[in-house]
Amino acid sequence: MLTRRGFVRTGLALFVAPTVLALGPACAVLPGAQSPSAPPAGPDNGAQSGTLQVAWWGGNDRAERTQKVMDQFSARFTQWKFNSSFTNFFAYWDKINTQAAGGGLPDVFQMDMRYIGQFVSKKLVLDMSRFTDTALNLKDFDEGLLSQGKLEGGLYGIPLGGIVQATVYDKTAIQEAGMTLPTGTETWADYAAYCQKLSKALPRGVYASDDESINIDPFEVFIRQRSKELYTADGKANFTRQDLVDWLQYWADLRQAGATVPPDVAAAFFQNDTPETTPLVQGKAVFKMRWTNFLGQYQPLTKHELVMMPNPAGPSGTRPGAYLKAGSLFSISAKTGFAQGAASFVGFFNTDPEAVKVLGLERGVPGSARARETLKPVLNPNDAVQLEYFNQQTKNTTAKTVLDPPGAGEFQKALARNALSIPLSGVSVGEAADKLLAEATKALSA
Amino acid sequence: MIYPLVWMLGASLKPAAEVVANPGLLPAEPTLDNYRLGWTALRVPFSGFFINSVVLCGLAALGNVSSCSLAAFAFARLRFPLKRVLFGLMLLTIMLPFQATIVPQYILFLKLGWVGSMLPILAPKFLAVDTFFVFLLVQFIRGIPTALDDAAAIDGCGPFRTFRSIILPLLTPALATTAVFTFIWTWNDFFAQLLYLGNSLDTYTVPVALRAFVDSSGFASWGQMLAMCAVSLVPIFALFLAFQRLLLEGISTVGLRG
Amino acid sequence: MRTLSRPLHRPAYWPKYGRAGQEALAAYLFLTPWLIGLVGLTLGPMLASLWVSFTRYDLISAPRWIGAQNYVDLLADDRYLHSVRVTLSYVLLEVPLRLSFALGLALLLNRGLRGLDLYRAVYYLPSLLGGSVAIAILWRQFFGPDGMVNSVLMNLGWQNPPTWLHDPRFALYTLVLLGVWQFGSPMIIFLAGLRQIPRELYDAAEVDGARAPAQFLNITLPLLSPLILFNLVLQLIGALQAFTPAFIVSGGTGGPVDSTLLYTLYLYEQAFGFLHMGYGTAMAWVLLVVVAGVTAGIFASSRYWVFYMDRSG
Repeated sequence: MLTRRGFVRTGLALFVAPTVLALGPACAVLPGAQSPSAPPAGPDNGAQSGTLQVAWWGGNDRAERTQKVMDQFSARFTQWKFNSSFTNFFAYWDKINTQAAGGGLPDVFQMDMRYIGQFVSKKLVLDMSRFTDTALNLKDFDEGLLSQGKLEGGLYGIPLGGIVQATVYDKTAIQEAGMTLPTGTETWADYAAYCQKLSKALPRGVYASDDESINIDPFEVFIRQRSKELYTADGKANFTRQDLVDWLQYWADLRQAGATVPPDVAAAFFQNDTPETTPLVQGKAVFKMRWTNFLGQYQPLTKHELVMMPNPAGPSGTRPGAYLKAGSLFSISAKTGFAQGAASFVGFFNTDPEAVKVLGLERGVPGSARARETLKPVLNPNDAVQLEYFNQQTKNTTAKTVLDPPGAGEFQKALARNALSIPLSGVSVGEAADKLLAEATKALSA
Repeated sequence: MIYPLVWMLGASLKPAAEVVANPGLLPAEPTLDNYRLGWTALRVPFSGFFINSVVLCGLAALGNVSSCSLAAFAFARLRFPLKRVLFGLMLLTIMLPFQATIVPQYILFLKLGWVGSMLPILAPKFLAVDTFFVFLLVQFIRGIPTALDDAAAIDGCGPFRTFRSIILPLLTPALATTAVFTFIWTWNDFFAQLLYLGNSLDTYTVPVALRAFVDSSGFASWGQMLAMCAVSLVPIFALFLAFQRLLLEGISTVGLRG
Repeated sequence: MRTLSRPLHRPAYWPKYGRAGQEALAAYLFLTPWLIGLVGLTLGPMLASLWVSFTRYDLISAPRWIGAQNYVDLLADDRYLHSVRVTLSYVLLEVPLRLSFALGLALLLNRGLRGLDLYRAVYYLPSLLGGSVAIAILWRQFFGPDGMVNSVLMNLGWQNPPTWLHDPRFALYTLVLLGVWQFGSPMIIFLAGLRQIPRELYDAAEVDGARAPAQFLNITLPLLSPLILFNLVLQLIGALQAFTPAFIVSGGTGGPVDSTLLYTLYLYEQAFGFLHMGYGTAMAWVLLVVVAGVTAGIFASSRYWVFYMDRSG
């Protein structure tokens, strides 16, 4: 029979049981339940020990080097442990965005100049100014490079290496095809002509150039040669429909002439951007437009000899389109509970002689003068080439004056997508340019 | 039909170069290297991901079994106002696409600070959100003769005792079906785990880890990847072998009485 | 002998346990977890998402009311409309194909083959495993440029087979194939339903001179129609929610030039990739309304083609 007591007892049990069952074991598996809990972040320097979450983008080689440095740091400063993750560039930003929203950004994470503006304005990253002379060890850091991490009066990113745009090419393949090597002073028109000639001399399945219509880096160079930055100071697109048409048409013509890789190869790369899957490395293309630090990433993956040269120049009289960029930076999450530890790690990463030797020039030329000194005698041939090229080319650059606004990342994706739609979906250059401009406007106004 | 599965097994035993070179079923030089290397490919050994998945799925199964059986008993055996309305609502929610609730649920769990833990995935299980199983259990309970209930009532049992002593024991096959299906479906549930457990390597579950593996290595290590994929399917396969009859009968019943 | 503890003149609905109020209270207690879930995790969020869909919200700063702008933007968004087309193509191909295979195989297996259990298991296994990341990765290998399928094709002499996954003409079809491969679970349901059809009906039809096709049309289909309805609705809703295969196979991008950009993928990219939460929830609501409409439509039409054994006429 139903008694009031039985009622209440069983009622409570029915109500409480599921809730307890849900929370009880779940609490046990909550991460952080077994490790020391993070103290609240604040103006103080945070905890003096714990596990640092680190994330970056890049390939396996970068991952191995970074892991070694983390091990070195843990060995020296035993109170710090690491939890790390890495993935390719596009997937990385998807994840970081979600983590940013969830308040779960890694303590130290790799930052890109196209995103730093938006992270600073949304107050997601820590101002590291107070660590400048202490944990970060920035006394002898190249001022030009460091300034790229300084926004709105604070220091939000520490550059991990300086890079400059460069075109990497497969010298062995060109020699085997019996062509003369490029001089490095070609204009876009020269480049096109050269590639067309080269493609006729190459074996089947090998193409002269990768399809760079999808690549924002040479696109930016192209625009800057027209004496303007990609974006306006108030964060809108600074390129016109005509700019887009010129760019897309250039590559359409090259594609027509059979001088670029087939579109499905280009598409594959966009879906899986790792050094191992680059057409240059796979022997499918001779030229690849990227940055100086990619020579070191590509050379170990191929037996052919790779050489660097500047990107094609604009018509004579135009200014250089390249600029010195902080290839990547380390930022610290604004909500970290380990500000001190994170800053120490970043400082160590950039200046400790052993760490610097492990990292080499993989992320670019170090900003710290001490680091550069440490590296000079022990550079492997690729890195020596990179350093020399970098030093040479710094004269051939124009400083970038407008930081990438929020939405720049979206535009980067939109460019790739719409550029690919021309060969893959038969969209005309004009249509693609219209769509791209519309998407850019939408992305940049959000 | 199961050629892809067998091929995957074969490929996982092929050395790296052979995966591309030899599209056939059998490896020319079988090796267990892929399993060894793939296990630690993400720096955290796969065992960690397995444990996360097993814990998650086990708790999910427990949650569904407890909460859905409670609701099912009420719908199948008890009379109460608004019963038809609530039953109709329950049926409707079976057909609700998950996209309708995922964004606000994410925001809710974000505000609660649960993102990064298993709670956002487990709480719905303990609150009978998988109404498919409520429906399944209602159908089963309807198949249990009410004479037993009546006898119990005469002996003075209230609904709670009836539930505990009469219905639950008889419901065991259906509960097992619920548990096994929940386990398997949660094991494969990628979206929610990506969203809530995908931010830190130590909370990764198996599907999230596999995808991180693909993203970071591109086409470079198919052998290892396929080896880990094969390993990840073992628990489902094992459950399938063990509970085959249960699963197949369970599916059939839902359809028949639906 | 059973003693009556209740007076005979009780109305039919007299509760079994205690007084009427007590049974109702007990019922609600049993339903408490479900009710909490219903309000807190289903209805509540749905209403909240309706509100969010009228705002601009990126989870970091406060939501900003913008009225119906998100919905207007959706209609003008080329990629959105494209994702709708892609999803429609996917669903309109995958669901009928999957159901046809399911029904066809069920009919075959119903002839009482030996080893039926083995066949059932073999056909069912893919649908258990198929939704997993592991199988999606396998598929990505299979149909990649250097994958198994192309290796076989090249061995057979086809010099330059298409690159399937990286070819916008074919990428979506690989996903359809993956979906159809998993026809096992609707097949099991059909099989169970076929078993329920009394043999006598077929025998009687034989006697009347009806041959196999006629038997199929006049006996099998009508009697199976409730299950066809059931499977149709279930598979349709499942197909509209497909996420994992498209996400893994295309690397999260929606495939070469958005050719595999299913609705859920685009929603994920907008809501969780770019943190346009308002926009994402607007998309979710549009989907909900469409699904509700389509399901209602199917049910309404069922009056004309679904035949229930226990109904007259």
